[in-house]
Amino acid sequence: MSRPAAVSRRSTKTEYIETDTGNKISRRSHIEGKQNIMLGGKSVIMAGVCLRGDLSRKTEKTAEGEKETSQTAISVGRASVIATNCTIRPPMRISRGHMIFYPMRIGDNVFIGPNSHISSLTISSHVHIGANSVLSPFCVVKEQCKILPDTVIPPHMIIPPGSVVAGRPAQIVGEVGEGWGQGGGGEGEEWVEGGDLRPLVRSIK
Amino acid sequence: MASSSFPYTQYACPCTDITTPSSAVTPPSGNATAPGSSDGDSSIDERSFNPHDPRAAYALLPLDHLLYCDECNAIKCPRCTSDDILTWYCPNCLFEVPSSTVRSDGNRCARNCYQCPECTALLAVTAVPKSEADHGTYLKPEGADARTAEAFLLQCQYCDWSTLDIDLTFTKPTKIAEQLAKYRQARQSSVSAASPDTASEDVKTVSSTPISHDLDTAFANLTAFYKTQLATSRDAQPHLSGPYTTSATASNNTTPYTSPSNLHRIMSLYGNNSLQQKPTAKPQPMREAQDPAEGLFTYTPTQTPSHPFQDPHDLLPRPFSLRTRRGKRCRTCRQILARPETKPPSLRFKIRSPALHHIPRLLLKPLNPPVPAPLPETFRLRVEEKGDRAASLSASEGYKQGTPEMYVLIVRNPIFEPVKITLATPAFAPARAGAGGAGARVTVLCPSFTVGAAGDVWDEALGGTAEGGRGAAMERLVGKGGEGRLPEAGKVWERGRSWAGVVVEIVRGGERSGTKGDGNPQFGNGDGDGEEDEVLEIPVFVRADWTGHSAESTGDGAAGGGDGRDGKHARQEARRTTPERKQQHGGEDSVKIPFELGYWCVLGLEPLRA
Ligand SMILES: [Zn+2]
Ligand SMILES: [Zn+2]
Ligand SMILES: [Zn+2]
Ligand SMILES: [Zn+2]
Repeated sequence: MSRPAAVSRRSTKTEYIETDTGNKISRRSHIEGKQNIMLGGKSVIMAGVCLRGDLSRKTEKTAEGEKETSQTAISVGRASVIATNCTIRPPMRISRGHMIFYPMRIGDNVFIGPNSHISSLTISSHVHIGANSVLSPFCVVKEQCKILPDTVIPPHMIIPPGSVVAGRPAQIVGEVGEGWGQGGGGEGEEWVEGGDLRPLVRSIK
Repeated sequence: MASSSFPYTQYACPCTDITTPSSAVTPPSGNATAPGSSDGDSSIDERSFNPHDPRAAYALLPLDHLLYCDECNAIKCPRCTSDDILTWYCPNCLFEVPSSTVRSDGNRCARNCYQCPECTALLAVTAVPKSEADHGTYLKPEGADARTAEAFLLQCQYCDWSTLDIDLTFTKPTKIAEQLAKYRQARQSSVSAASPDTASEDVKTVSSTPISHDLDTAFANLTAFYKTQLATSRDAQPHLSGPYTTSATASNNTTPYTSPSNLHRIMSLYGNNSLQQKPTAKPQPMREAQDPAEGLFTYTPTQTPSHPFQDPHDLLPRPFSLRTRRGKRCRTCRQILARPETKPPSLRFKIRSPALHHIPRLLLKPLNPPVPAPLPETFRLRVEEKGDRAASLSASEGYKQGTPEMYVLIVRNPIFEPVKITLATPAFAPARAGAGGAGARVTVLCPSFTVGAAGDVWDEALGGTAEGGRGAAMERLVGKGGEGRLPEAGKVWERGRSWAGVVVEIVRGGERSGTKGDGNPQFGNGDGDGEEDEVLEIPVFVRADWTGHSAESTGDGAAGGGDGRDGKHARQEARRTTPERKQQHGGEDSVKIPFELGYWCVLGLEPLRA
């Protein structure tokens, strides 16, 4: 795990800044609270993506002058791709008049389609999210799910593994096949939804 | 068969035969006829898969939904596999429910998992101050503590429906099911108190005056009817016992011929069959309800079309339906093809034999992809392109009717043996009848070729250059001068270790009669509008021939094959050997078994833009 702050600039002309662990971060993404964001390596943050790492749970008693410690707000696994113009915002609950943010976890090989708004608690590995989707606060997407484009997942919804989900509000409309995510990632091979996204990550420059 | 990205490939399971005779199926180049070595081929050659058949929607599946039985050496789809229910679970709380509980209590979650009756979203238990919840509460839950500062609601987080809409609050956030049951009972008794004779009246005039509790009456009648039916069928089979018989329903059963099983029992009294044979007999089919007294409830147009419930108080929170985790078996040989682990929160497979690991797969892509790299259309690399449809990366970009579109058809081999591929397409892929499309002429420039064996995934990943991909492979293959290369008939366009790409020429428009096959055809004449909207679907027959070791070692990529050089299963050899394969493989290893597999695919192309 590395923090995106450590960047090695090769050329000012490139679209992406590549971190030591191979994360590719668009120069045109908007990242707040870098210190609270963990990227697992070989993950991609595309242009226009807004990562709200600043929305993290602060420790209650912050003595004056003492450095304020805050938790990881957003953690993204390996080879996950967040496509253009997504907003990633940790879920929040108001308790006794205070806003409490909950850390958001995104697994490995997760694809988040463009223009999506993500406030889920957890997105497990090998999940494919279609474009223009809304994942409302505290929803949980288990592994190997496919969210069709333009889906709105209501707050707190739990999506069991291997589901195909669509609609506003989202409903489970089917199950992924037994071959979901299989057969990608080889030489010259296309990436497949729910599969190993490294070929896709490699192709993004 | 909507697919989000073009071109797509779907595969037809051989269990559905919707091929139609076609006079022009053979590939156009002279050297390319499919070798008619085995007896099944001759009939296949004359038939073409019809993607426009109404049943095609059920036969065609994306490859990840297909399984492969290596005993039968056949593709298996959901229609030719059978399901084993391994476990029942609630999709919301992910708790397993024992099958005995499902049988006794129904397939609903008994925990506090409720769906909104308006929109199906999850209902959350919300605490509210008592005063807020109290307005209009005509039902005081018994035992409600006056000192309780809070009441509880089930509230939809999506559409804002809540149990306040039906004047229902809960006294505690747990045991919602119990509290709901009390509410239902109270409601039913209040309704029947309001109109004491409705129940008997309803039986006569159910469809003419639909009011809210008609449904309840009808349901009660139907339940009673089914119980009677089940009871009588149980009477006929005295050794079977079920939970459905009650003395009340048994006494209802006064006429002897009401159910087939009863009739059967009576007949058997006068026949030679002895009652001792009954327990092994299959359950008798049951009659359905025939009149309102038996619970028949028909829809009448006088009811509001948008909502079957006229009284909003009929909307009750719905407990979640349980889902199942299922294993799959081959219907022919009963072999297990997929068996997931039963733990609901995760999805892992103990056994899995997806077709992806066993059959060559097809991928169509443009020969000269528009720059930049061929990413799916739904997905844009640069912000500036947003909303700019013209700049999107479309496969059929720049093509017009009547001009040849050049594509590369990549065939990828997932098995650990080299595979000889033969492709056949109808020379003319017709459009959907009546849709106004014009169809297309299809030419596979090299319909017969060999694809190398699949290796270990890691070998490939490490062996490839950092960029991997097709571009690098092409450079290796053709060198710097590759750009100006022209597709040639009979030549593989590009090739990797376990894949090969051949050029496919597609000319859309034109009519089947008249101009077909002529050097200078006139396309698109006389065809109306709506052509732009028509997805072009091209049937392709894929035949794969290879030699493998045995059923066990032919395949699973994940299992890491390459071990079984045993070749003990020589049983199929005599049956399947063909002379040409002998030439290719016969020399070194006589214990290898020839295999062949044929299946139809449909390649879907994006409609042309106007
Ligand atoms: Zn089938
Ligand atoms: Zn539940
Ligand atoms: Zn709702
Ligand atoms: Zn079988």
